[in-house]
Amino acid sequence: MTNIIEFLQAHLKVVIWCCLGTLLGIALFSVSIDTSHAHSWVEQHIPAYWSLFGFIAAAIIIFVSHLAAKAGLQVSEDFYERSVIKGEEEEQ
Amino acid sequence: MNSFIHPSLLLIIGALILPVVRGPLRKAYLIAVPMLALIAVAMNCTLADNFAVFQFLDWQLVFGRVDKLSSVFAVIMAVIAVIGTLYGLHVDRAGEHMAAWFYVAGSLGTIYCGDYISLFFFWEMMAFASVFLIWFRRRKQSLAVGYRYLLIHAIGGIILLAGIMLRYQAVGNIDFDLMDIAHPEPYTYLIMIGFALNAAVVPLHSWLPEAYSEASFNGAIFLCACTTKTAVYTLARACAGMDILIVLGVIMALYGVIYAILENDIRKLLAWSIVSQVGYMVAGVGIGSDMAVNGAAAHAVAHILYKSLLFMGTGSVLYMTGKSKFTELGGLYKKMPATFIFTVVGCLSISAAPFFAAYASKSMIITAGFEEHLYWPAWLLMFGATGTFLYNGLKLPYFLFFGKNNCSDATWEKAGDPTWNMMLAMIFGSALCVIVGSAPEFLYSMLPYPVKHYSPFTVYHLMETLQLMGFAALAFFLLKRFMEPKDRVTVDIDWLYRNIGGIFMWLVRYPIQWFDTVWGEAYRVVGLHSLMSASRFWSWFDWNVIDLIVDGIARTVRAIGGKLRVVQSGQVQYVMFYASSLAAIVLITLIVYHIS
Repeated sequence: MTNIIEFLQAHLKVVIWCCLGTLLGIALFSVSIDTSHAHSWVEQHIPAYWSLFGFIAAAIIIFVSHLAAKAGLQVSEDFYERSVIKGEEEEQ
Repeated sequence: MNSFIHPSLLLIIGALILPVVRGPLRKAYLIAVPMLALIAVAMNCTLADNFAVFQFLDWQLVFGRVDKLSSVFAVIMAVIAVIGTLYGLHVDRAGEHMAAWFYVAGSLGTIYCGDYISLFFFWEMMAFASVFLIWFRRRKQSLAVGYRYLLIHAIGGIILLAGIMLRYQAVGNIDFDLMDIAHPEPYTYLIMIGFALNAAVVPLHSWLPEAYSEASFNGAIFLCACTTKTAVYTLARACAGMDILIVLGVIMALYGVIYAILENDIRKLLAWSIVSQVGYMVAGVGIGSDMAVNGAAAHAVAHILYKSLLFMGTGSVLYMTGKSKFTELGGLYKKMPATFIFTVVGCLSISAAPFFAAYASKSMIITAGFEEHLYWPAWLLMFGATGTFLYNGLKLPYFLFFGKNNCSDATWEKAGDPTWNMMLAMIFGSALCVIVGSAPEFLYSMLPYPVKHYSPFTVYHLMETLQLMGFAALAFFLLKRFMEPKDRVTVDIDWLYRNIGGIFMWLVRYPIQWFDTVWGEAYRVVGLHSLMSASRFWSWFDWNVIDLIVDGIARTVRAIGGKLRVVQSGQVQYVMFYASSLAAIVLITLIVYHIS
């Protein structure tokens, strides 16, 4: 297992091109399948709709999370401990 | 044999006997008890009725309501009791196993009960038993986290109890059945909130990430399975079809994604993932159609399997290295190859990859949403599913087993695949994830309603999933620098109640203390002085007026008594003389009075 992973890491460019080729193949194949029974108009009429959806949704989630962290959602690890220690010191 | 055997009873008796079972017998006993519970649950699956019915005061308690909904949840809880115990087989603290078994017994008791009284009893048993799984981590902060967990669940229990009492007053029975959700009363919402708190419905969820990430490495296996999924069961039983649950479920699904993306602790990431995944189940219960409730039950089963597997994988990392942060780990595939494979199976399962567990369940809920024309919840759940793949299918395995190696020399030295029993438990977990995902017919046959016109194995569904995962992976590798774990924590709603506690302490320490001091001083200066003056006056009045009157009367009586004593000589002739004289005086007085 470890050897396989190291082999793939040693040939990273080939692996990346293989993955991109596979993605392209999936997207192209999805165009050929029957979408008439899909639940929504967008699924039926936009080619490779779920490829777009997957990429855009992932990008939105990554950026929204990043912005939320920047906006103050992420704080230092001792954020809560500091207030507790401060309180204990005051009691003493 | 067709009699009902309550698995909770087996687990409770087994737990009580456990401390006296020592030596080589201990491990066999640890496996035997949950296995017996699993066999009992399997045998109960062949039944369909109310069993173990007892009369208590005016109420009829039902401890064994067996139907398809209770059976499917009971089976998965019993399975997790076996896997969880196997995973922690080498833990020699009897108390930890006892707590775990009592916890599962509480969960099974809740699932099988048919009335609110026994439900409340088992509900609280779960809360009080599970807190020990946090305390057994024995870190400095474990105690505080455990108490916060217990406090929140106690509040949830009180809300639930209030709902139960109001409902009893309104409808006159304690039957635990589907409530009249078309005409909700205050008790409907109170009961729903009580259940929702245990399901970690946002904003009542903060206890979960904090508690589950702090649990002992094996305790987390039980925690990730029992509380939230038992709550999903109760919601499915009592609140199916409540529209508000759709909204709350979707919020949970998305909220959990954002926090899991930001999380630095591998087990806390999984805990946030529970919030997100339970959101799918809650939304399914809220949709309320047969397919949606089936989807919620199927997803609960799949979720317990893959989440316990993921907690076992990350628990192995914690157990072997003592670390649980991405920023202290990385590149572990070289040292923990088996753990890596099992964890990846869990990651693929939660991501609903084809032929892995959630592939058979998650799409059932989303399809139910589309079929009920609930388009926005269905789309948002799809959006959340992409996020699930991002944080669990990509971030977790990439930054834990690949990525930058942040391990210290000591951590790297300690890293390695765990003990045989932990490996065996992960093998079982992985196998079940693949079986459920590849051949879900058995799972579907256990669901509450017949599964008609639904199969996950369509070309369209397959291509949809592959596109979604493939292109989300592309986005991840292009943008992963924005997802690099950092040595930071994420502020959540617990900030609010922690601060409410802080504000309370500040109020006690400053304004209330100040008021108390001022009041004391005012009392001393004004109140005490007035009281002393009043006391002195009343003392004077008592001495000079009351005592004067009372003493004066006493002195007068004594003087008269002294005079009278002279006439009491004891001689008969004097007595007769005094009596006749007195009679003559009275007679003369009456005659004079009569004449005048």
